[in-house]
Amino acid sequence: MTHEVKRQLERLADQSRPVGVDVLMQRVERQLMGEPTTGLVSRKVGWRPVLVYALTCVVVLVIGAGTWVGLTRPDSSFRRAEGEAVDRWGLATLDLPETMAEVAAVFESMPDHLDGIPLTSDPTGGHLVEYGEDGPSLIVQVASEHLVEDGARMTPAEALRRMADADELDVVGYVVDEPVVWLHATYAAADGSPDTGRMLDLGAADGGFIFEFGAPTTDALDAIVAAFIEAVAALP
Amino acid sequence: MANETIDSEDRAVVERLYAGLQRFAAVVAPAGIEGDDLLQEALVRVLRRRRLCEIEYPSAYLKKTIVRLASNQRRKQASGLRALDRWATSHRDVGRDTYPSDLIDLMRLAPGERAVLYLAEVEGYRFDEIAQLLGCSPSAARKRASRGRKRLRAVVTMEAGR
Repeated sequence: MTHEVKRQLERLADQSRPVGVDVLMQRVERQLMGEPTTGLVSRKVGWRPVLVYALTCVVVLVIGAGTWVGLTRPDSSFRRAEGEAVDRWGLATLDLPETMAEVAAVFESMPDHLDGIPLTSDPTGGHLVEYGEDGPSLIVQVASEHLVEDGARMTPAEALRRMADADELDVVGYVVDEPVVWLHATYAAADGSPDTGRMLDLGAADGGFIFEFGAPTTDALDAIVAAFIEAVAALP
Repeated sequence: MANETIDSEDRAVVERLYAGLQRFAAVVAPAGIEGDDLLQEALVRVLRRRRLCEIEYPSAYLKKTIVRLASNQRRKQASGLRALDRWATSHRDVGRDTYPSDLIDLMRLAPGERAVLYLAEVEGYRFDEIAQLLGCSPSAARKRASRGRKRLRAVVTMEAGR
């Protein structure tokens, strides 16, 4: 068994196609200087293809399946699943941070521990707050980079409506036509592993940020959302 | 870094460590992400804060950064916004399908588990050394390796019984 594991690990390492140290260093330098380059950052897929996809779907639905839309889309702005109550967090009245400085202030005032799990990220600067490392973790992060691509902007309301319709999430509930928009869903890991979790995406309808919460259980999600709400309420 | 460029000493460190780090990153990287991209991001994160040549064990430091980045990336892949990205990604030549079938089960392990298994099985480190490298306790390293082996063994046993 050990030999087989070793063989697989070596094969996995062999699968990669190294670009070579010179190319890598050029990319690193370009990235450090803020110039466009390839790598993880540029591999993020922006909203443009999603927008095109969304518009295509809308056209198809309007032209070819109008009746289906009328039958299956609820009139209200949220839907329920599994009898779970929606907005049990009281998100509708939340006064969310509007600037990066406010976001940073909120993230920096998140507690050092959550349900006994220690803070493992550096919240300074306000992009990610993470609790736990080895086991399941709880995170809240700013996902606003997904909202702008080559100048084309998608509001959080538009983005969450798109997500609610994407059929790739098991949506528990969502609100997309109120001043505060949110979407609550369960997800499975993209790589086919058995990991699943709960997520909540939250933002001001026309704001610049989507806050994304992830946790392994409903209770853990509630805990990190409650801590976030408390930190938001403490904003001057 | 003051001028955001890489000096000759740091470059020499990267040249010395590149081959090993590239393979390590390739093993730890989530599906659809190249090891070089992960290594690139790790280097940028580290170089923004300090010089590589001033770090006592730059290989260990970078490996730890690579594992953290890989874990974060995997979580992002799992989350909702990535669900949309996956739609677009499915139109490009990346993802699980690029891996041979016998490696897909290995790719299902968490990056931290793959990192520990690689360091133990391929690079021959002891668990106390792996713990130092990855910034966890020896028992956590042992636990990750055991969990990873157990998952792989289950698959191997199941396939042998078919």
